[in-house]
Amino acid sequence: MKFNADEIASVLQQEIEQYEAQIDVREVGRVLEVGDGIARVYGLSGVMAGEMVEFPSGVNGLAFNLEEHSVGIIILGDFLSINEGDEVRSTGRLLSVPVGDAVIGRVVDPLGNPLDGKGPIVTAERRPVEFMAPGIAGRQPVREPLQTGIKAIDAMTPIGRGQRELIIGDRKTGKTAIGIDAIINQRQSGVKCFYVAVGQKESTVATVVEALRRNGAMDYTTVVVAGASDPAPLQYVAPYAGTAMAEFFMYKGQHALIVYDDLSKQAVAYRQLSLLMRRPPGREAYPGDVFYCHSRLLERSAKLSDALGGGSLTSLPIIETLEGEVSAYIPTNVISITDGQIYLQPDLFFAGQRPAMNAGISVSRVGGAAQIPAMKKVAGGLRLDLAAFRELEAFAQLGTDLDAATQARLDRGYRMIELLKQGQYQPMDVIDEVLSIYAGTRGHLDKIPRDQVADWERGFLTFMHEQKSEIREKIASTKKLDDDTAAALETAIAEFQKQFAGKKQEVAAKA
Amino acid sequence: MPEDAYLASSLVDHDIDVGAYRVGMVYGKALLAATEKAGNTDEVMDELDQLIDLLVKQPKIDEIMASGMIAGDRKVAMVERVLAGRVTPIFLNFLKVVASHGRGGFLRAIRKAVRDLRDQQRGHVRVQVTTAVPLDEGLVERIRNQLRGMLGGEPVLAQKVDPDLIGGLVFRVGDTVYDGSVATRLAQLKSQMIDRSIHEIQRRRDRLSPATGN
Repeated sequence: MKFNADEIASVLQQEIEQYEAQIDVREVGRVLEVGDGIARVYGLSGVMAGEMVEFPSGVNGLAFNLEEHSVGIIILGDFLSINEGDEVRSTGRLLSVPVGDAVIGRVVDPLGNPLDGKGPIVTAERRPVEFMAPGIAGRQPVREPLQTGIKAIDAMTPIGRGQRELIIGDRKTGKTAIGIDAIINQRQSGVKCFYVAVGQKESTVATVVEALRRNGAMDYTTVVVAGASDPAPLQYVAPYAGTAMAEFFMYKGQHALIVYDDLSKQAVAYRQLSLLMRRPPGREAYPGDVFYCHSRLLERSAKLSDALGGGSLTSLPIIETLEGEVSAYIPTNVISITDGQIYLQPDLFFAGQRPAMNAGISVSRVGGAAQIPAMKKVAGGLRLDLAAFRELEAFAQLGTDLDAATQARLDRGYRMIELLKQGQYQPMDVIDEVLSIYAGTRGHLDKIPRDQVADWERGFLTFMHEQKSEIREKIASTKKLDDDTAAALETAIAEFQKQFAGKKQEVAAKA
Repeated sequence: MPEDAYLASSLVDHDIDVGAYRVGMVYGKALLAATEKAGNTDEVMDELDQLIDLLVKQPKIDEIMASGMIAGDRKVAMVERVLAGRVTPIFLNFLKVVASHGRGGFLRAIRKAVRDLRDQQRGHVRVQVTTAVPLDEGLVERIRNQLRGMLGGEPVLAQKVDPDLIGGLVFRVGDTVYDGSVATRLAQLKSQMIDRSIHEIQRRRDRLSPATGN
């Protein structure tokens, strides 16, 4: 690329000619002590809580603690470049990040600086990182679905636009995978996605970004990274920064989805800051306002009223538990803030059920209203049936003789479990989900051997795509499954059953 | 006004030692109240200044006063022996109280606190003026007159010379800095130019290749 040097020179010259010198008035203080992401500053007597301050090295800070004789500053950047005795100046501004289309498709740090080497983010639009959540009058109930593309979730714990659904589980149970799949599935829906990585390994984040890119999701996704090696203040600020970027679209009447991965690490970063600032520790040494730290963040997810444009911000916060301990401080806090939780369990994960969602204790408190009618019809009692099946299964392991009805319920349950398994990065269209679950709950899979359920489903969906596309289109356009369509679907399934049986015989004959 | 000798000499910078300053404030208020009653405030203040100058010249005395290894009553006896009859009785008593309470190391902080309290009483405002070259008397007078109108108090100027400013003036009043120096203006101009240029470059790049976007 070639620039016209003369032109730039003339721009610079204009700049100098038009430059009006004004006396720079600033409020200053001096650094008393500095370390581990915080600084204590003497002076700055007029600084406001949450105001940005500037250190001589160009690093910014945030006034965090206002005390009688000093100010506690959290340093957003390299704190090693700050020395005792340095002059700190207040800026009179609040922390803000660039927002808008310019950040879409980018990987940025919590201050909005690009990390992906694709040049500067040039936009005049900024939003404050801390922003009041919309009030009661500004909201309306959740009513549109946000399809995650994961059968188990869309059927049993549906998520609506504007909802906050917690993803909770031990390490290595596929929490991030659910968030990523939900993002990948928004390719057609026009929902802008934000993935906030807090305290994650940089290598993990790189893998996630690569997965998003490979699946074409980076076209509408922003990744905000405060890695494990970043100082605690950045990890603490990252979720708020990501929310500010996502909110921009909500207030413009569009839809956004944000995944916080994960809030337990943010709480740990906040605990570190609070302890360094000598705020009194409470339960598990977290400060007293750690609940507020998360509640004010998650309250910003909302479905706005039509008067405000009807935009929405859906959030999927992730919490990592230790040994399934959901009664720890942070998990209980976040469970009580969110509108439901998806509970992932390691034993299910290792038993091959992926996503490893425990249907019995996972709930969605508001999403049911947002499910499409067809899905509501086919998946109605699924969650309770599966929970009952789990109990029955435990009982059946005792080896007692079972009556035919019980055996039938067990068979159905095993088939449903098989059917709800789904690979990573393979989100499904909601119509396909309806078709699969219809076949399962109506007992069409009861005669299929368990290890062939996945084959059957794949074949069935291809069959519906290629030969019965009118049924799919009918459901897609009306979003309903009326009696006529159901009857047509029944015949289609019967037809496919014959094909499937024929194919199996062929394979068997060849063998 | 020359650079403050006691500040320059002290081991700990009392200007930002918050704890010491708070202690100094307590003793300072008491001393001022006592001298006001007796009506010899100025005299005692001079004595305090002289004592600090003495400590600067005789660091050993400073060490003894600050040391926790020497009992309070021995310090009191020493103060009595050395200063009795040479200073006003109030100041002598004050030093005894300070010594017996083990606050001998806080004399500098006390002086700073007393000075700040006196400034408040008399409506003095301390202003640090930094310039690239030393100021002449006429200019100092002009600055003083200008500041008097601005601050609503009698300015007390402390001058400092810093050639890095290149030109212009920097005032510091309390925590507020009024910066009219050439160095700061150049820095501002630089960052403004960089911002504008980045914007210009990016805009042209976007125009050349609209498909790739960011």
